[in-house]
Amino acid sequence: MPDRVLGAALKAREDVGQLRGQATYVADLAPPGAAHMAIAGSEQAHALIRGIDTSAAEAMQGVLAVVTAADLDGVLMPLPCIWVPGGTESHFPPHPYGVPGARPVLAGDRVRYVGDPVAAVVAETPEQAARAAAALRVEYEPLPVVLRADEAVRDGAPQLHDTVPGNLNARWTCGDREAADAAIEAAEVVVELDIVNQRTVNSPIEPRGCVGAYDPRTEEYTLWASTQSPHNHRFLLAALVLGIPFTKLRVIAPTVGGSFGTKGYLYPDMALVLHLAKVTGRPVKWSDSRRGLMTSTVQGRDQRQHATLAGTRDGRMTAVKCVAHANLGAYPSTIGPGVATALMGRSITGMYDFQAGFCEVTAAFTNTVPLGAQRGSGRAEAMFMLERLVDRFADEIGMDRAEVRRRNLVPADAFPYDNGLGWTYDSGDYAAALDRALEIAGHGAGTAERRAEARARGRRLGVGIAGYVAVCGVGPSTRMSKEGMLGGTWESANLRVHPTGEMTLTIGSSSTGQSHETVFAQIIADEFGVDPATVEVAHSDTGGSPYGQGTYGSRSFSVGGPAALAAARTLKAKIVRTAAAMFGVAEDDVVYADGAVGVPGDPERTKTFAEMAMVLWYDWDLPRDVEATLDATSYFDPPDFNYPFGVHIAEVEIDEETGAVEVTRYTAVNDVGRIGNPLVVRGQFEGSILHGVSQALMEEARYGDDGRLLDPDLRSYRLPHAADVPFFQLDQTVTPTPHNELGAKGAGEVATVPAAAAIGNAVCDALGVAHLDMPYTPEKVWRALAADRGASTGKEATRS
Amino acid sequence: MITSSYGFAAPRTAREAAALLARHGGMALAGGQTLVAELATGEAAPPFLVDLGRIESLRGIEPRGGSVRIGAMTTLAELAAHRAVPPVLATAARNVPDPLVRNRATVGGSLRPSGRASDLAPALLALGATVHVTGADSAVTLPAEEYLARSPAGVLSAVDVPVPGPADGCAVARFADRPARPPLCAVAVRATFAGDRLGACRIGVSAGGPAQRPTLLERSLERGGDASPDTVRGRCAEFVSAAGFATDGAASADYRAHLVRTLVVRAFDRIAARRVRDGG
Repeated sequence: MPDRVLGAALKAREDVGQLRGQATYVADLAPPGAAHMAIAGSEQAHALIRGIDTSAAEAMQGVLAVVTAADLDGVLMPLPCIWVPGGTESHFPPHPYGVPGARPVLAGDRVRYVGDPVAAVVAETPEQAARAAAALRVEYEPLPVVLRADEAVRDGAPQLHDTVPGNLNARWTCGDREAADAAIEAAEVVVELDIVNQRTVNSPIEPRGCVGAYDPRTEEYTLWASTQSPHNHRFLLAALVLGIPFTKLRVIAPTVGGSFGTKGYLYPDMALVLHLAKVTGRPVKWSDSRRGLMTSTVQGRDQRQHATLAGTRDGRMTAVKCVAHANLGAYPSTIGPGVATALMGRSITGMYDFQAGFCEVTAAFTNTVPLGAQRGSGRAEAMFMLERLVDRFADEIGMDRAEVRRRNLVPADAFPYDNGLGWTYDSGDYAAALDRALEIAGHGAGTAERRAEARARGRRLGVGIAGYVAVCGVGPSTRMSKEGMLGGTWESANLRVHPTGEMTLTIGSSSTGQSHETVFAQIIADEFGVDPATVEVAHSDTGGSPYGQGTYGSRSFSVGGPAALAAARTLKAKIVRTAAAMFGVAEDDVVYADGAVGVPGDPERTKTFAEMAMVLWYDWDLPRDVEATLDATSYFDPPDFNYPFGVHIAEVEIDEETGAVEVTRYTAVNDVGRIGNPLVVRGQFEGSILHGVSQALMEEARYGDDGRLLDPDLRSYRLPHAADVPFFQLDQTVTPTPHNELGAKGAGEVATVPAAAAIGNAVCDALGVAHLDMPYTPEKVWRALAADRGASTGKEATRS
Repeated sequence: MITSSYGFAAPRTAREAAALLARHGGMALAGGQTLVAELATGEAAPPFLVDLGRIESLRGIEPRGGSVRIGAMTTLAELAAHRAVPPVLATAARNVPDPLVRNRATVGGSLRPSGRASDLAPALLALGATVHVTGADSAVTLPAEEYLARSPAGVLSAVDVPVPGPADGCAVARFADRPARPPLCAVAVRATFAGDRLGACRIGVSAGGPAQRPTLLERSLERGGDASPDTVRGRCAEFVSAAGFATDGAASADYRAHLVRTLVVRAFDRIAARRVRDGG
């Protein structure tokens, strides 16, 4: 146990209630008189709506209201998009305020994906609402369907939006195309890969839900929602969707059961429950189902990349280039276009010092569920591509794969390091992370032994190394504005000390499972030298918090944490100033240490933190310039992003008979700077790795030609179970970032970033193939093995 | 959420249940591990549900000389734990990986036709189980393979499972794409030996896919004489052809055929290893 509270492995205080089922999620809310909403989604992937007959639904038992797009005209404006591809021309659906539009709340004249909401029904019970929604008769005139981004931008492809010619949201670039092409042209060795980074269904344990209420007396709306950005959603919904005063909307997120990026988005259901609460005079509740989530909630990944890496025969990597198509789905999600472009494109150099790099991302609309972030988004797609290329390059020049990586790492004395694509890496010792990972993984002679031993058991062993650098701590507001973010990305905290010395820290970021209540209390308790149990942490209610932006981009601890620390330091200074005045000494003669303030060695002139709280509460005999109570609000806008990094090594065994891939060892060394709570961070690492393993081995949002999801629920969509969690060997190096007082970097999603790449490299190693696209399902691997056997049989035949 | 409406009854006798099913044309609800999910998605929307949970006569495991009678509402957890149950059948029940499912799923429900492979059905087929079906005013007894092929009307009330003799070797094998999931394919083998010679073989196969019911492969492997793994391996390839399997989103027919061949060999390998260990 470290002697400091910050950095101690305290158990997460919020876990007990959640594990015992005592926590309140949106679906647990039962406001008196609540009615229930169901949404009718399109059955067609692309069609004109010729008419909607609501009469049968309206006549059904218990139905209170049925609305279609026609009823919302002039009432609910379209949802906006707030992260557009930066520095380039882009095209969006319309919004009356001239901001980039995302989508209408309900589809009007056209549906663009299966599940696209066309009507909403409110009834007395959820079952009545669902039955009435099913009784709506929508007359469709089907249109041709396009499901792939590369096909959507071809001439003659079906057009989704009148305001988006050729379905092209943006053709975004970064880096130096000419320098990259020249380096590739001149290179001794060039390797290329075509990669499909497949689409995945985001699968938090809790599907989304919301409850809307309206008070006609005050004209105030309240939205309870499973959101990771309550403040941001309040702003956008009030100003750009409902068109009401900011003061008339309060947003509250109760306990949120996971998010992975999905719950930072505006969804039609949020606007609908608010509007329908006003229409019906009743609180209106909507709870999504698991099956509903598969089309109601943003999906992840989905890029097709043509990737090129150039280098020398002696192992120097000189240039990397990626030309990608990003599938945004039918509509831009709230921040989807920025995620799919900048977070991927600027990240493609990873840990390596290239002379030249270039990335072009063509972001396009298709008849699929809108795309959004998924844990590690953009960066994971970049790292899968890069680390697969590095293995190809090493194989091509016949050099050890670890050695190639070592020779090309950004050196430890090169920071701050400009990667040439727009990121300035803050700090790192990449070689230390690589060496540590290789050591723990038993890389080298041990691998060869295990390989032979596995072969004797009818199994092929493969080893995959993947390093990463993952931009996190989103972000510096000015920098993000240049990146196309239409909003600030600072974070805030308010610290209020009660007369008893207990405290309430109210933070702007929102927990969806990251243990904010535990870790933020550690920051405050550590600063004041008091018991963390005396620090209450409140969040996720715009009625009671300072402003905030939310939880995304691995930012809460590294952007919100410094705001909390600054508030504590403001109050500490006030305590010192007040104590000096009380004791009649100069401020410099007063020291705050171990939970007390006073003149060192003078117990008469020393008071505890709690005593000072009471002193400031009574406000007796204090100087005129000392205001009563301890209450401070701070905002933190970081000077730049931070850049966690690390190296992962996966070892897999493939059953030669069935093609089943088993992850037999998984070694990960991550560097996330200074850590607030190692237990919480370990949980993030394990979960993050599993997320990447899951994409590599199992997940794929497969669409049929008609645009329907082929695996519409968890009976066939593949997610990992507890039994699929590999054996982890985790370690870390600690390189603080200079960009915040905590020295902390993002930690929530970074371990996802290289995980699929490590598995991909291991599977391709085991199979001895140049490349195989994810997911590595048993049948796909069995086919690759069969092809390999066929090829070797063929070779033998030729030789004889 | 289940939005369809249906009639519901929970009778006390199997005969009453059969009469209700005959009258209303509905479905029987046993452990509900497949049906309830289908009700929620709308894949099943029966006009009437007959809950078998209150029928005492459908419960219990009872040794009867050379066989064991197992009530249709016996759960897989009960089956896995009962001493009178042939070990291979108990293993098949234990192979259902989720304890929550084992506590609810029933022997009768395991023989319900569905698009998914079953761990239990192949074992019942291989062991030569017979199935008792209670109708409204009649009762029939038929081999499990016939029951699976015909799905006769009435309530599946019990199965009789012959206890394998000392000359029999039995084993199950399964393959799931994730260990904790239902199998993609499952097989069971009962091989009867005469000394070192391999005689009659019953092989139960459940390979999933639309309209694919668990089936029985009955073969004599006497030709060739010995029971060495190589012989068995060769023979398996002969009688498992891709023709009988389905292609769907989960797997192709030829992968399913390959898996069945692989699993049959693995089951034989287990039998052989046990015979070596037991000095048989």
